Amino acid sequence: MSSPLLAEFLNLVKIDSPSGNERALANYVKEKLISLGWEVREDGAATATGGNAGNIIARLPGRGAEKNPVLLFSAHLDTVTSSAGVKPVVAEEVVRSDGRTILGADDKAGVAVLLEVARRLREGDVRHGEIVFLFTVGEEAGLLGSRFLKPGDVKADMGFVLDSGGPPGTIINAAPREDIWKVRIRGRSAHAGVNPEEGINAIRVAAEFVRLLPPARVDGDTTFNPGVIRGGQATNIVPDLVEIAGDMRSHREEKLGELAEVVNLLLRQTCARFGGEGEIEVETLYPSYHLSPEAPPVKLATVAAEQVGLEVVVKRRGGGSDANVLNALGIPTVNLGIGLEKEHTPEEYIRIKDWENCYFWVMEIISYLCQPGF
Amino acid sequence: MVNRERILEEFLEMVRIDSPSGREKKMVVYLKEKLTGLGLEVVEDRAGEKLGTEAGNLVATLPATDSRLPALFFSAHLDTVESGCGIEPVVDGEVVRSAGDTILGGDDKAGIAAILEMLRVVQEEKLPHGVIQAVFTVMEEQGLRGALHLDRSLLKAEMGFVLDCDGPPGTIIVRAPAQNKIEAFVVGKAAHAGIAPEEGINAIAVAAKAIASLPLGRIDSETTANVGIIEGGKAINIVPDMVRVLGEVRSLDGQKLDHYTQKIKEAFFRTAAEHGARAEVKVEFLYPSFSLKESDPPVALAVRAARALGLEPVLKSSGGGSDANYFNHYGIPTANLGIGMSRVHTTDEYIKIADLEMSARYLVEIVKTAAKK
Repeated sequence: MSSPLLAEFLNLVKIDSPSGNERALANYVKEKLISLGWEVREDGAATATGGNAGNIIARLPGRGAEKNPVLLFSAHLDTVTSSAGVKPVVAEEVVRSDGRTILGADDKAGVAVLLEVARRLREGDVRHGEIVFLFTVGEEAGLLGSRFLKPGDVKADMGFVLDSGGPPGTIINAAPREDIWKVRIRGRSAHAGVNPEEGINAIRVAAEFVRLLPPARVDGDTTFNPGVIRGGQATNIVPDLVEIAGDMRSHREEKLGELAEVVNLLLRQTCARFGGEGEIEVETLYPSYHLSPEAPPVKLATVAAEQVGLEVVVKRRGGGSDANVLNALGIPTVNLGIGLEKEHTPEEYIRIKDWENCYFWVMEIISYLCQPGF
Repeated sequence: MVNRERILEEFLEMVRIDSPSGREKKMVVYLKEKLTGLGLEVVEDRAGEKLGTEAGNLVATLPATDSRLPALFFSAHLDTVESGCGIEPVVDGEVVRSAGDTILGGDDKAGIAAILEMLRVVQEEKLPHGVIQAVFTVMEEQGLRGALHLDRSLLKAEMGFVLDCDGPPGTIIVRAPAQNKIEAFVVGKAAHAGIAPEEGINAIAVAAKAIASLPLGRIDSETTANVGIIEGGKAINIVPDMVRVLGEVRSLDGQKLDHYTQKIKEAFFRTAAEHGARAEVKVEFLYPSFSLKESDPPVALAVRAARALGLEPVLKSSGGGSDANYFNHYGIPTANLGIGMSRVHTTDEYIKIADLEMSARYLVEIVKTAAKK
């Protein structure tokens, strides 16, 4: 089994697909699925997200188990940065890059598994219900592709996203909501050497504001991160504008409302103290989700993992994925561990064994003949 | 007599010559010809080679008619800030401004124009004078680097006047601070903001704590400090591992300059250490301070000449450096004179034609007053 999956993966990583620039990979995936007999379409996410490719939605009718629930499997086409010129190295049971670029296993390892599943189903000896594949764009840029989807664009009874760290058997049943916040602090410019007392140093105000912000780990459910700061134009000018942006996440949605109020209050108090002006914008990127162990995708993934001898770990995760959006669209969806390690860095690697197990796990989910109740 | 039409025309001509910092060659060629034509001996020093730019400073010397009279120099800088290419000056009633999205470049071509007109008038009117030198520097706007690399052996004057200050003619800058430029990096540790933020060290948070503890703005009557630029972080969902902060300290007093520079360095080191981060702080000494008394030769001469012209002499401290800082440092007492340039370094820069004319008359008056000693 290993060689076709690995060969497919090595093809995929050589196709560069940073967020917004997934065209070549989208074409490859489309052609592949069409040639395997799938019904394939591309939605309008390209225009809406400013990228050059839309989400790819592919459907395969059921065969011998048409009554089974419709299963959705999803992976994202984009990588966090360019992997142009990647040299994958296969050694000691892992695949890594040569250290100069990311490998792009996040999420091409997931894409490879799904393409291999499609190839296997083409052989015609596996009974299964209707299957939908969703390949999203712009995931790393803030779930742009999946957030473009409207209710009904994808029809399925439950979903499985192949995009989590952790070995196969890992089932992410909960993830926090993520809000992004942008703060703009205005002071007043003045010449730093001639009349600094006539200015209001926006960086000084921003420093005080940041100093008072909540800590990174607000509580067990909640995180807060000032991620980017930019301000000022020259050393000899008292700066009049600073912009700070970050995110905050919580498994408890109401907590983010409270945090936004706290941050807003801190901003207003700090600005009042120094005489500056502050504005804050908060935008919800995606909602949280939380599925019980009895929810259909958790149950099915659990049973299938046990069938193929994987150790099942059901847990929540601090990062968002397309699963957050799919749950909000009404499709109960879990995120599955596919053995990604050190993603988003040049040291990224994937364990071949874990990843093959992931393929067997997905095949088992598909071919598991569901009883009523799923 | 100072000729208003002539100085205006020459000023407009020079403003049209592109000379952003480091690309002063066209101005150097233009002035060499002008100054040679006016009978001065012109030398270009090797500052351009030292700076890796295309032109050096010009030092032009007009021999004395009477060697007992004091030797004077007059200086202006050749370079302009951005956006300083393709400037189209517009005469708008009583003022000159720029058309379009550029500065005017009156900073400092108005000073050059005044010096050229003075040199012509001195010779036309056969005024008695000691050695007169014209010193035109490059790279002034890049931290006085032309003056820093000036070939001091070319300077023969015993006092000097830099024409590079706002305020009307009669404004005399007698003090200016020294300056240190400070660049601090705070290095934390990156981590996923949602999954494992506690594994990271937020460089923005550390930098903010350090900045919040700094003495900034007006520290005392002779000392200022500023944090002017901050930039850090790559994405909202990554604990940022690097922040860069740029600032400065200025003081008329060298000890205070060192003291507050040290305080800023320590604040970054201490705060970084408290949070397991690392700080790097680079200090660049930009220029020394100067301080002249009213009785010092260039000040006394500038005051007398101003009064003789009916101008009100105003002695001031400057918050910023000019080439005068270096000339004083080189041991030649030098004042910086107001030439009426306004809103400099902006696209709204302008200068009154009357001030162009008055600056030239003022320089002629300084030469005349020096001869009356």
